[in-house]
Amino acid sequence: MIGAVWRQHRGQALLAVIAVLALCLLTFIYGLSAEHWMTGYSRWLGQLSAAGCPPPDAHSGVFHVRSAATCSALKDRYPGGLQPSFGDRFHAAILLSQYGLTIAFALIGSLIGAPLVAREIEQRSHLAAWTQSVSRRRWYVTKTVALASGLMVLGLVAGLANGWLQRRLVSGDITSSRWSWFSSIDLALAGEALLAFALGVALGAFLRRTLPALGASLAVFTLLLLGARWAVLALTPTSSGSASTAPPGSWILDPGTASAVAYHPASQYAALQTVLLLVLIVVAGAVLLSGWRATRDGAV
Amino acid sequence: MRAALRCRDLAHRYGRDVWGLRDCDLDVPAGRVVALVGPNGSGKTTLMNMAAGLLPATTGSIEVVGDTPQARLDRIGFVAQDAPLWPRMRVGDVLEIGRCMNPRFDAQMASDRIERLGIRPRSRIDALSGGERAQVALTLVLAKKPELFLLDEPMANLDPLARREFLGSMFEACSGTGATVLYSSHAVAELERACDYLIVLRGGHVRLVGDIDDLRMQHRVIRGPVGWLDRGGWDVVSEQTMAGQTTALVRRDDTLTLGPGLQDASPTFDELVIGYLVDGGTARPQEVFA
Amino acid sequence: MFRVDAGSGVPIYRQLVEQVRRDLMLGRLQPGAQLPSVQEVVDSLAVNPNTVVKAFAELEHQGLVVRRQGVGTFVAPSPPLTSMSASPRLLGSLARWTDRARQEGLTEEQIRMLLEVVLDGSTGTDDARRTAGGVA
Repeated sequence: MIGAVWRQHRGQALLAVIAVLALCLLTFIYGLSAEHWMTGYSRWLGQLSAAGCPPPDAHSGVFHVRSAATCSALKDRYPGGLQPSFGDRFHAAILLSQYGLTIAFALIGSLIGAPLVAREIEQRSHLAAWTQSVSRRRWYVTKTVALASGLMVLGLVAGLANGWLQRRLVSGDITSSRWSWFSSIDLALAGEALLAFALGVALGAFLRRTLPALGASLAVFTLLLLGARWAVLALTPTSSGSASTAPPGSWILDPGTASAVAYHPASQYAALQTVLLLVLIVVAGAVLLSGWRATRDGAV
Repeated sequence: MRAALRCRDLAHRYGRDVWGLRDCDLDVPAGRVVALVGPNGSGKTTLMNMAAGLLPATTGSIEVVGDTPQARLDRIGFVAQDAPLWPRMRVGDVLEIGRCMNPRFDAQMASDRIERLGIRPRSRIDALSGGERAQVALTLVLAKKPELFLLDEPMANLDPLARREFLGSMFEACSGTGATVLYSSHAVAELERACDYLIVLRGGHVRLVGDIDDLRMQHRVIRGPVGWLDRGGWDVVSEQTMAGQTTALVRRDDTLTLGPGLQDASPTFDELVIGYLVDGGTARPQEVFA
Repeated sequence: MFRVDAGSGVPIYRQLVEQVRRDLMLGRLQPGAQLPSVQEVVDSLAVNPNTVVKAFAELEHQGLVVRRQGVGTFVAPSPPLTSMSASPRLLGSLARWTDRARQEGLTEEQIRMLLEVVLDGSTGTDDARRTAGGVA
């Protein structure tokens, strides 16, 4: 039946691949650009110290300035400091990397999932699709597994590319926190693509109309993703300590009192990502199962 | 020879109160071309959909070629009303889907037939006329080489020449393989030529079923002046009175004698069908093929 | 060779049987001649193959044809139905009667109806003659 799935979804698949490749290309370009910017910044720092100028974050201290003119010329190259300058310059890249890819995959997953059952029913072609020699269940399982697998591969590729970009965007502490990227790099995108797809399929099977299913899928996806994030971060074991003893790069969950905060140390980042992926997979599986029930029991 | 289609007390309920089919008992022998006749809402499409494995039985059982429809999907060739297919797909792709999803699909025969019918494989389904789409759908089921064809008003969009050609293909499929064809239609004349077995449905119930020639021999159409029905003890199926004459379709009873002034004859095919389609024994033929 | 009138009161297989009988009686079919194959009849008439098979079986049952597996269906060497030999006098009086009927203003349809009613009358009710007399 795989041949049939390919023939029917060939166009969609190609569009999805092209979109993801374009996004990866964009991340690649941004990443190189950020690297280049960082190199320029490091060079600037070198120039500053060579000229004996005060480093950018110094507020007091004694410096042996060799040339006041050079220092004042160099001083405002990066106004506001490292983080604000970088943030201004790479505003778009940061948005794309933190949210854009997640949104893109939510869209791609829903756009491929929503019509799967709904469009067949809308155009009555289910009467042909379900009366070839393949049982309705095998039809559903083959289609969902094949398309979900493809989407997860795309999500993984994009996630890895975004991970590469993210490392360029956080190197040298140029953006505030790694945790902002929690649900958009590495494994998370694959899980999100799967969830959006599953929601599209199931809501399409319930509502039996493609466009409403698409809208509902995006809405529920947002809720579920936020919920999953919260669950992973809040319900997994945290370390406690005081605000000052929490190691750098930790995700501070609950400001609480200054003496006792709960946090996830940076070392747990990868483990929590994996948990998020597993949660997304389990939820998506449950969603696809209920989508099957709706497909099986719905009117013909 | 096992029955191509067997139903025992089969019924289907839509929602809470609406029964599409009730008390259906059928034993259709293999190798027949079966006419399934009845007005809209009579249960034809419900029966077809159940035989194709699309609808579950609410009560009772249905067997196709000896097993449940879901277990016999590869031996059933189903074309729904209006021959629905995937609108944006090309004809060639649709045939490929048939090949991928059916184990015994004769791809060569399918593409030969499409070519012979003058349909271009690169055309999109939604660019075809209704008749061409019906032909593609029929090609799909013919190439599948099923043992039971289920065709829900398949010729509605075909011109007379195309109907001829399609019937020819069906007969070729049957006589070669002994396949059974069940087809529902409103066109009585073509049913008589093509079919040798009859199922009449109305109001979700089977009203008449059997070999057409046998059924015609088991009934008579008797006509005479008003009043003849009341004496005589005939088993009346339906009757109609017009201009002082009462015409009735009765079950044949050789023990009864025909009184004076009465004419009797073997019913034509549509007299037989219409006789069983009318409600409560009084003829209202204009309702029948609504 | 065959024609089918769907919608007439006569079952199709019976029509085919009658047509073979007619051709035999009129001498159009000779003993030993080959009938069209079932497939040929189906193709030319678009009728159910079972119907044709049934017709051929009925003809064989009546001793009029012989079916040879793999070869075809043939008129029996000595069918119990000889060519009709209506005497010239019979044919002549039929022709004259038909002319008179036409002169009296009967249409071809009415002539056929008359003939049917009279034939029915001789096997059925004796009202037939009365009824026939009422036909204008």
